[in-house]
Amino acid sequence: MLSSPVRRGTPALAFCLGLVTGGAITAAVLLVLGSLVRAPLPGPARWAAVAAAAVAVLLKEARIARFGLPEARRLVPESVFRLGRHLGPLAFGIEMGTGARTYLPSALPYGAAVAVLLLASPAAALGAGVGFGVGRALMTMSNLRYGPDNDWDEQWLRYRRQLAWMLALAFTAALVAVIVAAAR
Amino acid sequence: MAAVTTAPAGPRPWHPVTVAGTLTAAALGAAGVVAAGAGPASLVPGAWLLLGAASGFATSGST
Repeated sequence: MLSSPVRRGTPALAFCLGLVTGGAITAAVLLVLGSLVRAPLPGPARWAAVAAAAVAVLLKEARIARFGLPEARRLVPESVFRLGRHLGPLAFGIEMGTGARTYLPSALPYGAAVAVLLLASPAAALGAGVGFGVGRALMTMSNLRYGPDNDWDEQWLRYRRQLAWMLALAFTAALVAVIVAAAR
Repeated sequence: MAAVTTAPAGPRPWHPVTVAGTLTAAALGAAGVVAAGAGPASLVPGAWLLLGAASGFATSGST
């Protein structure tokens, strides 16, 4: 997984900073778009849309429903690393952190994006965006700390079904928390 | 003489299942606290952060 020049030390930190920044950028864009989308929609319609999106992505994660979602079907170009030892990983991280510049092998970010688009306050959107970057950074940091070479990746592949269920449960629980809090 | 190997010493903190389990436990805890009406208002951005983190970590197969 970490076959890129993002290895250890300060370049890895720059990469993680980029991931968080990228997530925050996407959240800000969704917030601006959301201000336009929300205007004509009554509250119940927004709740219903978020619930429908959540159900759809969970069915897709469970492989009960099969449908395509828009994604950039390409890798982030290696040319970003020409920017230097730190700027390269930072740019790479920003591109990956946006979630819009490379493959997204899970449907959960789409559900989160719809929730941010239709429900989130500026602080909540920032939380979700930073969280997305942190989630991606967790992969990098845990991979680097777990063991040599591709051990972590092999474990991910070995437990990928269980991981999909666990993370779908985490997503659902967090969504329930924000919905219940907002409904008060 | 046969080589002696050491068995793994319990769950490894950076194993993907451990990380996902921690995220899941935190999200379930946040949902439980909010549902019980016992959480502070500051918990809500935290729940959004967990929502994003679960989504982000789920994409770990992409790089």
